Amino acid sequence: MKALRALRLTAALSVLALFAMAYARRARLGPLMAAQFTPALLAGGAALITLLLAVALLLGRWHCSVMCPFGTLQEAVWRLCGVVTTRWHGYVRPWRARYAVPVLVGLGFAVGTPIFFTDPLANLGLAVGVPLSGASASDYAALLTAAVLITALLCAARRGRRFCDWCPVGVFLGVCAHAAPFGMRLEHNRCVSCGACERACPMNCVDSKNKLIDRERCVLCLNCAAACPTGAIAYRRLDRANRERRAFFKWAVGVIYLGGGVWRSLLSRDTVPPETRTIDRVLPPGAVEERLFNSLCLRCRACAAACPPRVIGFGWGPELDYRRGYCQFNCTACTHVCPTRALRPLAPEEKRRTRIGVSKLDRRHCIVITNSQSCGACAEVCPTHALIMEPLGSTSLTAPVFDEEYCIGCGGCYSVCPVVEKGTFVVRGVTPQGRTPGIRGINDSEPDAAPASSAFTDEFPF
Amino acid sequence: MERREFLKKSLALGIGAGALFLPRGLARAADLPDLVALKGPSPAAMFDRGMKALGGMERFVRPGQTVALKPNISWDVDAQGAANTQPELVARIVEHCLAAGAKRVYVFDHSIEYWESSLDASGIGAAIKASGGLYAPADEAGYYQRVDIKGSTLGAAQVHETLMESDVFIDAPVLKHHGGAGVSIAMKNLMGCVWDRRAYHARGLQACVADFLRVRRPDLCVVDAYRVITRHGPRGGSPNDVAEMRAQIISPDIVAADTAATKMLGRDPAGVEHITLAAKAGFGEMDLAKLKIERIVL
Repeated sequence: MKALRALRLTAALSVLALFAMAYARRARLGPLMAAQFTPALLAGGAALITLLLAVALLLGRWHCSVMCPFGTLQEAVWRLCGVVTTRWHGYVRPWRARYAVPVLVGLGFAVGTPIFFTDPLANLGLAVGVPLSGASASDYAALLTAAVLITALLCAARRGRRFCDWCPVGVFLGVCAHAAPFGMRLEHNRCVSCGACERACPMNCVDSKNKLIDRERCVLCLNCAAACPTGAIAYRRLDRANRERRAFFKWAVGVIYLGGGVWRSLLSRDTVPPETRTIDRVLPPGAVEERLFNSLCLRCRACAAACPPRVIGFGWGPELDYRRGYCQFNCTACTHVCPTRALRPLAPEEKRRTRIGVSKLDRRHCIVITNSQSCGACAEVCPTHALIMEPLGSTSLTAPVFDEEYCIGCGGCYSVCPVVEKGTFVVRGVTPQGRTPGIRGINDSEPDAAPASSAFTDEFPF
Repeated sequence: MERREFLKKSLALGIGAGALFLPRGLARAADLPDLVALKGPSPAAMFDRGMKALGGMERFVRPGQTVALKPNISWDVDAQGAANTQPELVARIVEHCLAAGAKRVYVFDHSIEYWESSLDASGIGAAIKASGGLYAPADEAGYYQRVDIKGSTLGAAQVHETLMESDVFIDAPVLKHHGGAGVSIAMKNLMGCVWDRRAYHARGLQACVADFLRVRRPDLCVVDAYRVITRHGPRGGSPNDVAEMRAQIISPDIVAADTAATKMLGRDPAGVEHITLAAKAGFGEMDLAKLKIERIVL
């Protein structure tokens, strides 16, 4: 059991470390992120979710103890705090109210309102992603999540993985595992009720006095088995007498949660694209239609952490904040990290033609026109030449001229304009995101677009 | 040795050493060209030949000195796209400096597009590594020092620390069209030495570009005109925007370099305000007829 426990610990810590590295943009998660439970449920496909369910139904909550980085984070906090202070330990009787969480979250999936702050990924994103990536967290979504997160971490410091008792994924997997044929078995005749297991349990689910383990809450960390001086506890196949009675109520909770998630995952295969409309916020590139986006986004902040110039900010969900910079023309980083496919992966050539929003130029406020001075900051950064500088009347100045057709909504013009506060540029989002013809002039075949190599030949013009 | 004594002696030694070099440098500069214009098969070959004509890098870099090299690394665009200085040229400049005995050669630019992508795409990141230079990060305000420029349009600027602390300053722009400033050459390239670009645009781009020379004038300008964006500058985007000029201009005089390069773009330097402003302020010579120019075709 000790070897298995060491293996579990190593695996769990590796997962947490990989998540930390990914948020710090030092690693790519790929399947590790996709196999997190909520992403798997909403976007992972039938095979993956069936696999995860089968593991839980047969073997128990291994997902919680190995795959969930937020669970491991709580356990790490609990362990470290145990070094400096005395931990509380003992058996906690289960609260029935916790079944309400997966029910509500499942209904939330069904109606398209993810109750994101209950999700371990949203909490991990705030606890680990924000500090490691330097992404912003001054938003409503963060405020709401922070309330849960701070409570969870304070509890973790003294009493272990308390969040897991209320985690929608944890409660659901507990429901799956309560009648599993494999689990922790406590041999009554060998147990001396010494309480070593209770002290080692981060879930507070072992009762040594009454010699029982709440297998629904047990995440299979194997601490108790390793701590037991008489070897009375082990991960074993359970005979029928040792298994719990199947409770209809618990299955009902499971079905509501799973049903909501599956319903959402089926809905998200949007077939008929709704009509294009403009919206106030600009969604990151690759975003699906806004309403669908809102129903899928878990606020895990992976996109915000992946954004090299940190342009992805948050309101209630991710949106581009052009006061901090603009969306880089060749960059597709955020589109590849979204676990629920609220952002679909884009190839660079696709990205360069994706319209995430559209800018609007009000020349009345342009500094070239109001002050008669050179500028051109907007046209300088405009990667598609939607903005170009053209001679201003009879002066030697050039002023920007805007052609909406080529605008991808990257916000470059907005972020560099020296007088943007006066309202020179307004960028609004477009949903569903459209396609543009690309860079203006790139396919031109007119003679004036031919290479202008004749500027000078071998004779220097001076 | 007491500190005061040490300082006095070092100062005396320094002046002595400087005096040894000074007359020789002046004497050599007298018969050397003020500006070298080249046409050739590659940026590196042109630079080698051009520096020979100018008296070698030893004229500008003394053993043990630190060098700040400011190429254009502003755009996430490859070398063919010509929005950045050719990586081959950056590497060759670094090599010349190190061969002349430079202690360290720092390469920096406050990039416009994301710095890491620009460094990779331009090929300059790899070129710096291969040539033995050091990349000085420029993506955070902490790398910049405030410099007051009294009586100027710019007023004050946050200037990159590398520029403030290095002994020798080399400006290595790429010649290109610029929608706002008309042209972007050696003087406009120096905008990448400051943190707050918006201040330039807000206060008057042309005047501020010229004002920056009051902070520090480059000791040497190497204008890369191998591939040149002739319209839709400074970023370009279409291969049609790029002309293969296969040329280079090297000069210690930034105004002369900009004047000559502007002419190569087929424009009148008198119509580019920041060049005329800098000439008026005495930062260099706009009248190329007054200068000794060496034209080399390889």
